[in-house]
Amino acid sequence: MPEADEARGRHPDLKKLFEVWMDNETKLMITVFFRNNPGVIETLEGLAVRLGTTPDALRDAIADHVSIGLLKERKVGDKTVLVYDRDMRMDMEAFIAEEIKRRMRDQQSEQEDQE
Amino acid sequence: MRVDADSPKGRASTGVQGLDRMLGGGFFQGDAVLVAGSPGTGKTTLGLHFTAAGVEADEPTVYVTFEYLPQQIYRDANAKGWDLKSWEEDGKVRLLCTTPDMVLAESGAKAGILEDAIRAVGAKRLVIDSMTHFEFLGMENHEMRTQLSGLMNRLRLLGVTTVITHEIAEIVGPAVRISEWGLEFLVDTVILLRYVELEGELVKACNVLKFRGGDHDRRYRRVELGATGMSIEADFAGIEDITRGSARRTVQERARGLI
Ligand SMILES: Nc1ncnc2c1ncn2[C@@H]1O[C@H](COP(=O)(O)OP(=O)(O)OP(=O)(O)O)[C@@H](O)[C@H]1O
Ligand SMILES: [Mg+2]
Repeated sequence: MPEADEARGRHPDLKKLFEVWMDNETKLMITVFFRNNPGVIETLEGLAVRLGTTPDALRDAIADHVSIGLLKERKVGDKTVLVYDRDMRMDMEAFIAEEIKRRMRDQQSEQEDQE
Repeated sequence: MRVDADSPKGRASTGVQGLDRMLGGGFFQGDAVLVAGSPGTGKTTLGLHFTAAGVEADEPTVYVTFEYLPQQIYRDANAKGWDLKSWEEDGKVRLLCTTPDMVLAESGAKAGILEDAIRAVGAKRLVIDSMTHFEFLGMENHEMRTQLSGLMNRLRLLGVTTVITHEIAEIVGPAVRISEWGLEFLVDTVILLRYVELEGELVKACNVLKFRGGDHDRRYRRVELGATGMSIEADFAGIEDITRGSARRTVQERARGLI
């Protein structure tokens, strides 16, 4: 999948990210939330309200999203808001699609080896 | 419900054929329009029609909401046959879900989130649903008026045709006032959506209260909301006192019913 290769080129950490992500409930919740609601622009506090949790419970996971670039911090007036990076999402999805395919291929060939 | 893709020059189709007709072809491009109405009268539906008409006319829309999450709006729009999500993926629509202070912020020299979104999709249309949420900012009325006046000026500079919605608390009866902040004076056009009690039944009605620079239909017309959205029907000919909230058929009409 050429898009995925391109994406990996731009974000060499995607593979590592994918593995860590799937093990963390909060991160997964945030990723899914923004995937379904890419237009949400909120402060950390506002986001916590929308997700029915507290800012403290989100803080670390949000920081990780920001560090890999899936969320961007932006200054609006005197507040800092979180904005979803839609391009990054495309990259992320292309990568995940390829990763899943690869794992399925690996599984299949393992099965074939056993036969 | 499809509307003729070609609007008269300089006009932006509202997406509702009957309303386009009342306005002689649609809103004026670049104007600010206030859709004021009682709860459940179709303000959001009209905003979605306007967005859909923008897709048809190749005029991308930025659609701003406060309360509802995008996923709820995708779902509600989908039920009426509008695939907002795919329009958004095609860059024809951009949904923003934020708080009113974010919309007001950076109204000075630096561009705000509205400008960002408008630039990102090359928007020609903007919907803000609804201004009622600005109440939660807890500002004094005069301060709010100043802020909103600034916002409307910003939108004019951007050249987008804007639809803002606002709730009127009264269900029936004459609208005492449209907004505490004088929103009706800050916009070019005001569309009023009201309930009318018509011999024991609540029906929805639409009126073009103000249309700067253009002739328009001055009558109240019946509004139907259904599975495919809003349609605007006949006027209330033969019915008296429509604006008092509790309307009756004229004596002649009632007599006709008896014969
Ligand atoms: N499928 C349908 N069939 C009939 N009526 C419908 C249908 N879908 C929606 N409606 C009507 O539309 C109304 C809601 O329309 P809409 O949400 O546009 O109104 P609104 O003015 O934005 O409301 P609010 O004050 O809650 O923001 C409902 O109250 C209902 O009467
Ligand atoms: Mg509404």
